[in-house]
Amino acid sequence: MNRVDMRRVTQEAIRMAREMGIALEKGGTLFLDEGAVMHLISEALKEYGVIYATLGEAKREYSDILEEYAVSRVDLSRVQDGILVYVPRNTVIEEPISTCYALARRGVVQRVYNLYVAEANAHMVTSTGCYALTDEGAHWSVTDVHLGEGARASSIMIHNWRPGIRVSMSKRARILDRAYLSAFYINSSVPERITSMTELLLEGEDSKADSDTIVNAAGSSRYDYISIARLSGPGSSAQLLSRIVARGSAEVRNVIRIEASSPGTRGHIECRALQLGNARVSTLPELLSSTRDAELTHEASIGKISREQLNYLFTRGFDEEEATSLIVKGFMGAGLGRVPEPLRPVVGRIIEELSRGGM
Amino acid sequence: MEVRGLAVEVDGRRVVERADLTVERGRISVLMGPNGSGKTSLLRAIAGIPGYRIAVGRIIMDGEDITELPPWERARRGLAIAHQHPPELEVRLRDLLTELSKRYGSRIGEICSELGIDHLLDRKAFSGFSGGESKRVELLTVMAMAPRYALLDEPDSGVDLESVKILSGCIESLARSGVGVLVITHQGHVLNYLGRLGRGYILHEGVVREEGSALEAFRRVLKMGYRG
Repeated sequence: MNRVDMRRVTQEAIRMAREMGIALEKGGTLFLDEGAVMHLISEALKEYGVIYATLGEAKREYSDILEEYAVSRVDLSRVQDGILVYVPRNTVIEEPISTCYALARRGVVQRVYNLYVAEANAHMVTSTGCYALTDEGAHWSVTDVHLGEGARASSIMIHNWRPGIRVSMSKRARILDRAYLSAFYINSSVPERITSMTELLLEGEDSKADSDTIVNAAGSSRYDYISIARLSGPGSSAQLLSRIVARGSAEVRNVIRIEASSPGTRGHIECRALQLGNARVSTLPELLSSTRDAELTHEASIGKISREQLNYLFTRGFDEEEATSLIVKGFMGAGLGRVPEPLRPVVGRIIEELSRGGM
Repeated sequence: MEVRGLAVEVDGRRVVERADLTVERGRISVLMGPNGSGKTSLLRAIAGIPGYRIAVGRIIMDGEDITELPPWERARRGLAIAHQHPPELEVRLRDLLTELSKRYGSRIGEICSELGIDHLLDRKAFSGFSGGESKRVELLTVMAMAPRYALLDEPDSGVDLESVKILSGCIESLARSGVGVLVITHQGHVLNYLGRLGRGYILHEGVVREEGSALEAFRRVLKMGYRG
């Protein structure tokens, strides 16, 4: 790619990020294929002593942090892209730290490793966008999160792929005493295939995690999601919610598991799917307990939009397309109240777009 | 609005043989009939709900024949129905009301408070609502459509007297603003609070017949039953 093409593609990638609600020009990092083309650190982050480095910088300057806080085993010599975010103890950062990964060159394979660390009583908000400008390529990513005692983290991840893209991602979060992770994930796209594995390790006493997954599956894409919360800290709790809208001939497999091994733990799974068209959906909620006083519950449902709902909305002046869109919006937006305030408008806007059939 | 010689079929079975009725703008007409006589089916057929087939007859609304129109087109032209048992919707009540207000240019903020339903706005519409709450919300969605004609299916059934009073106030204000209202009622509680009553109709053995004014029809039913 020559310099002119590079500038044009970068602008296009920034524009797409903006459409997804991520304003990179205000600060953030954009990885295009196999390297960072933009890395702006806001004054506020510098002032608070936050480390926000590309993986290349991190390998050179912060290898101790990478080593100390990594949750997964990754051979970093084989990874080009990624970031390190380190928020020092007692530091509260309210502005979202934004990072985007875009595939632009046909046939490119993007390998990513991210590490987010919030030390004791630190707060951070992160937004991540992953998307494609090309129809052929692959994105492989591992994300680790470490939350120290009393830390809080809110994250949103938005996927917007194109047909012909293969995606494999895994996320592991270690959550220590009284720390809290709220994670929101939205996939509104039609990759060739996506495989996702999320593991929440609630090791600390009274640690807590809420995870919301919204998938708008379409085309002939295949989606595999596995989410596991391991409640090993006394009094730890997790709530794993997923809402899937499956259209076309998409195939979706959603496995959600909570394992309780410590007293006083609580967990709730809710997986609901709405089937439009001939899509195939399987949801599998699993609860495992090896302790006596764990409180684990689950709800699961797969269904079509009921005729009664449509008929009702017809009599309010909505035609079939409008009524379906309103119902899908309500279905996907049910968890909007749980989204942290700084990220709520972004999620609301995306859900609005999705309910109309795409982004 | 005029309903002329309407016959209604549900699942291939004729449930209304012949219905002739007129709903006047600014008046509240009343439709009565024994359980299972087809009153709800008639209202649903007039509203155009799929599954309620008009076999014979016409519906003329302000001079336009709407018999063949899909339900959303009837609604957009000003025909609203309040369902007896609205289904639980996957839509937040606030979002539904916002959509309706935008679409029909109505203002319902104050009415929400008057009806005492502010606390329901962030819940899914009709999900876990009490009987009285459902009736009030349902009537509010009708008002949000700023209709020309409103078909109300038993707005006073299963609600306490206080709610009947509140609902009657809303129905009365609809009529006062020029809306033609047709109410199905069993107990007639609602009639005690309405002042703009129009014609009374009785549906019995598949046929609708006019019985003078709404009050006259109601008194006749009280005295002699539906066969009288």
